[in-house]
Amino acid sequence: MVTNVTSFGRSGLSDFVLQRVSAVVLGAFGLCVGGWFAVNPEGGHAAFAAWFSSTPMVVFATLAVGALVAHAWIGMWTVGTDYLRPHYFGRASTVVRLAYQGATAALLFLYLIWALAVIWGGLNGSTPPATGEMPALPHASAVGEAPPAEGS
Amino acid sequence: MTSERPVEIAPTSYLPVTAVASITHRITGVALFAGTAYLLFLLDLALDSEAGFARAAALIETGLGKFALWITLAALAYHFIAGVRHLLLDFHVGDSLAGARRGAWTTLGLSFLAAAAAGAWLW
Repeated sequence: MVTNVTSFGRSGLSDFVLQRVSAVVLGAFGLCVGGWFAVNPEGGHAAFAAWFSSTPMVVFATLAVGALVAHAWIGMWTVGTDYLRPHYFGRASTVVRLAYQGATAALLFLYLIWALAVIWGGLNGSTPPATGEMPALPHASAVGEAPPAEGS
Repeated sequence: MTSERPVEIAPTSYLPVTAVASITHRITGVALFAGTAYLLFLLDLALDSEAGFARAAALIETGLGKFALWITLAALAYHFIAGVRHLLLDFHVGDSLAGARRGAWTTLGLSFLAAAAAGAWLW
């Protein structure tokens, strides 16, 4: 079995499967969000935030962020190992490739934290969207409001 | 590496449509790595508040903001369509020589239409 210390799943077969599974997740998520804007061209903040902050969408978006990190790493790694090699870069190729992989990893980590903060909301004191219409997750709790009592 | 084995076919001397489709899948993938930051920035603004949503909406009305969004959406459309083709190839749908060429042309054609549609929607 071919392994590589910088591949995502430590195995090419694992990366092969992960790349496809994450692609399906990202494709479905992209169609979902794109579809919302197609159906609601004049959506506005309140309607969009209410929809995007619903529990199913928060779960779906979190899954999509995980898929994005894996997909982007495997894709960028594949491109990097194909082109940043001795044929083009001579003896510097290992350093060049590691710098590229390090920058990729750092940016992906930034995306991960940023995206989770956006999806789970309110971490830095951002105001929750329109009150009342939202489920308890996640903005309401971040500003100390009691979630609306449901079903009572 | 000092081995004498052949390293590659010079891509400039022989570039079939399947190679164009493949390299475009890679280029759009790397472009989306940067485009993700832009989309995330817009999403952050849109979810933040009415004012933030208005700022995001205003940003994509500026020439540069709109062009950046169009490039990102066009790259996304290509990457998506080429990805679907890739999954079909995994199941041996269209993986004959002629089928692969047809699939590559279809991917390029559909993406061109999708990019045009995105442009029409934005402008």
